[in-house]
Amino acid sequence: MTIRKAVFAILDRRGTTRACAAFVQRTLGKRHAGQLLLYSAGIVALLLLLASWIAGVQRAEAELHPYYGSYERPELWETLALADIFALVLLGIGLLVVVPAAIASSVAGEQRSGTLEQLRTTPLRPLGLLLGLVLGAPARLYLICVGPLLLHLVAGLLGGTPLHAVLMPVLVLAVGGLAFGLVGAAVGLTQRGRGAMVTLGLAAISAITALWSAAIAHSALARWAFLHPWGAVHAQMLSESELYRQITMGSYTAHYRFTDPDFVDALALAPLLALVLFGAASVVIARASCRRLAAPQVPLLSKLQALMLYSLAAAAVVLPSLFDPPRQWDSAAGCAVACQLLLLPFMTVLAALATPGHDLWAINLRRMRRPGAFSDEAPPHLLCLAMIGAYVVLTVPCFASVSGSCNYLCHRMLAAAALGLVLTATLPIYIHFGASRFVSHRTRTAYVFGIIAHLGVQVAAVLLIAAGAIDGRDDGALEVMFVKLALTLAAAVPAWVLWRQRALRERTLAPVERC
Amino acid sequence: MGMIHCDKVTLTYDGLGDAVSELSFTVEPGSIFALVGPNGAGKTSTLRMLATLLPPTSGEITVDGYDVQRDREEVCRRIGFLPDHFALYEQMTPVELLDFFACCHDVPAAVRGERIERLIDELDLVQARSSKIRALSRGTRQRLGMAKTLVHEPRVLILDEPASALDPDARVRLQNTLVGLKKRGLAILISSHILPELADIADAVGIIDRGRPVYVGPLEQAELPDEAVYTLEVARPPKARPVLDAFDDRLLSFLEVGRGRFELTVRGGAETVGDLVEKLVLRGARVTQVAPRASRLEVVYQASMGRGRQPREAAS
Repeated sequence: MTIRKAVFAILDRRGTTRACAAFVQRTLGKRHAGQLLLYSAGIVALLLLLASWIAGVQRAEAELHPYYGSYERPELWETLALADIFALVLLGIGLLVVVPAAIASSVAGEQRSGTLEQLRTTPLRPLGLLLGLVLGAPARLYLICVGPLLLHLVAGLLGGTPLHAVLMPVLVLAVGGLAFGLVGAAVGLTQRGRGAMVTLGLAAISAITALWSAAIAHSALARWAFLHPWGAVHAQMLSESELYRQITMGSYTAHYRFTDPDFVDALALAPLLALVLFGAASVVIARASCRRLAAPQVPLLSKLQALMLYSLAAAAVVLPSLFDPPRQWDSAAGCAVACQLLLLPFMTVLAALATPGHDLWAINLRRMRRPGAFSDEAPPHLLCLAMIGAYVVLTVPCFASVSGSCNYLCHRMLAAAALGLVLTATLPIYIHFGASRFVSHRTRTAYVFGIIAHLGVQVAAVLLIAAGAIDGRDDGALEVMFVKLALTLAAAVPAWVLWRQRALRERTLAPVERC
Repeated sequence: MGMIHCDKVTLTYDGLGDAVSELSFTVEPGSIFALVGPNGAGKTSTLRMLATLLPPTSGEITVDGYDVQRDREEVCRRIGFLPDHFALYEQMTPVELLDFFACCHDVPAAVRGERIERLIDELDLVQARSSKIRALSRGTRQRLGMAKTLVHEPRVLILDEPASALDPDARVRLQNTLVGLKKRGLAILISSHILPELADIADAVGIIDRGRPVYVGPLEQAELPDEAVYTLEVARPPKARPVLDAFDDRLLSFLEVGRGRFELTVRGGAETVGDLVEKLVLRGARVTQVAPRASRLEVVYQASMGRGRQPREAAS
């Protein structure tokens, strides 16, 4: 008993176990746990039945058509192996799509109803409260996942799969699920309404990126499969399960793809990279959420946290290209432009989440204080410059193994990259104005759509320049006129927003000056 | 230093005006402090700062010697906060809700059940104990909120309009509960608009207007205005009227508001009323009741608000 108490005391130093236990008990109650475990067992039974039926049909099909193909192996269609695949897919959907959405919805609901505020007056520390919300609140969903998880473990061990290969997908799903759950909680904390749209959006983004990462795991871009936990799980299963390869890639493609050692290495590395990426991201997001729980008036992310998350994302996007570095100037510059455009939405979201709202900005302004560049009250300009700096530093190694001279292809890519950088540098102007000027949801949404349209025009211009669509065209050509219009807007829109920001500043200061 | 100590606390939301300005007060253990003021005076903001939900812009707030910002966890162990419009988990039963909050407050499992049962008994929640919270009436929810606030046996109670949803019976029961808690040594801070109810139980008062403290201190020490309105009831009005007409200039005016029922505006307070009653009795008017029209707290409030507003209104 004393040892048990001592262990519990060590575990509960920060009150996390207590919080999780309280939230689990709140969600489940005593009666529901057994019921949910029964549902979970029912799901396992259904998976086994479905797998058995499909495997039987496939084997019968192979016997009927022996000319099916020299690469087909009907003996791979085993019930347990197929049920294992189904179980992992179900776990992926549950932990990476449904649970984060449920957490976002639950946190937004608590925030809206005011119960979160009451929890903040309890002695629970922010980390305990956060883990209670992330691990305890969706306890029903976790319980339903128990059956498929056991099925995966049993199927893996009975099928002779090495233990590390059985455990790795579970580990990746656990860490990825935690990271996505924390993102759900962080998103929920920023919501003032019901958060239904955000919840659905989060689920949709997670599902779409999961499919995208799974798709690129089949291709020559397999090095980037770890950008989503499902991509990493997919890569792991491709490496280990021949049945999975046969189902997802087709036996013929799989045979040839797996003769490429780079492809095999990329797949083997994906789960480890995903663990590192999502583990690190979880720590930063958890700290940001704790900060927000402790002080709801500050932006969700501190400037440093935003920079760390951006650097992580930029490293994850840029560094895999070093495994096969570009040899020519134009391909290196093209790679830089592609990565820049890929990171642009991420940078926008992070900078927006680190930007002070109207009240915080106005209080600081009216007190005539000059905030530190990375303080919560500061506008995001220096943060965005630091992000651009991090991106440039990470991109430099891409050009290390480039040889030869810069040809015309290279020039247009560099021009596109330069325009991309200018576009990126103007982001903080729009973000700061949007955060400090528009208080109501409607006007802010309208402004955001306007700016997204403007950025869309700029991105299209960058792509046109990069693709060489304006090379050698006369001034009257549509593409040339479009690029000219985009360049004009690239100067005019930030100037207009800056002018409006100045007017807002004067208006905010006017009552103080009158006093 | 008292259980709650506020020292020159200021809060601003937008940097323009102060929601709370230079507010200082102390609440001793075993006492009730009433925070009163008109709407928008800064009462709720003050309570939210005390409950660690809002950081003060300047000044210092301590609860049992712990700073509300630096030692949030220790402060939360000691306070029970019941906000004005509070939410409860609708899908839970009262027992489940109390158990959840007891768990969050780290109440040992061994005493949790017994404590919850005691609170359910004390706050008359026996019939509602197994119902879902969404099915409870507003008054029952308010009592449940009170039980939730007390589940960890706090040493400080912070209540924002606790009687707003209660019927007269329940208000009386709440008053009795608060007096009982006060006797147990709790420091209680109440914000309410219902001044007569606070007057019966409050030991000290803080009157604030537009964020500024107008009067802070014990009710007994509050300076009362020289003029006061009393209600007088007599059984034989015809014998009372000549006495009132002939009474000296300390009786400023009187008005018969019903048969045998007078409203007297007097100078000199209880002493003048004593003299007047003596004369009425001697003339055979049969005095059945005499009482000040407003409670001491109401008089202090009205007088303080009048004093507090005059200079600023004059200046503006």
